[in-house]
Amino acid sequence: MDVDLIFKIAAIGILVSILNIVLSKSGREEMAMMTTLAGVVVVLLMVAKEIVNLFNTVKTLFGF
Amino acid sequence: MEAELFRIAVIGIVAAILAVIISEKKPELGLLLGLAFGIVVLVVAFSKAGAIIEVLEDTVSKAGIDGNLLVPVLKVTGMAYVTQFSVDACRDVGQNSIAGKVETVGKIMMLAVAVPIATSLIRIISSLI
Repeated sequence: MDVDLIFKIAAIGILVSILNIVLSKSGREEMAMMTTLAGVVVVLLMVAKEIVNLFNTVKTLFGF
Repeated sequence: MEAELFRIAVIGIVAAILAVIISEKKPELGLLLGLAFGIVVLVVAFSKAGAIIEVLEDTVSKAGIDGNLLVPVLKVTGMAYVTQFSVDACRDVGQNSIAGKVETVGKIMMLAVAVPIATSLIRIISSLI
């Protein structure tokens, strides 16, 4: 079971929000924005790979 | 099977709590976490569903029903699952209009797959008359 994925995403989320707070407090709003964007893109890539996996499972299972 | 269900139930609670924690600061990552949980759970569930479909095919062949009639039924079931997954994901993000469009497309495609069954039914009826 691929439970690691959930914890990985949770860790990235917490890390990104901490980095965001630190960078915002030190007055680097644009870098905080970039870290947020990078975090979202990384997680989106991970999720997209798994969505392809899920749809392939459905395809083979239901004989498309 | 039941051990897996308990595991998934626990993972669901953990994922929900983590999603709430993340959503406080980064709602978009919290939504992606929910999506990832859905994918993990569905992959587990579908890997178990193969046995059910095998039994279904076996029963159909034993009952002397044309095996080709089962294919569209299974196809429509799979399409319904995929459509529902996508619609739920869109609704979670709050894009109700996109969800509605995906739903409409899914309905039309499912109807297109199901039409051959309807025509074969009509053919059977007309051969009886």
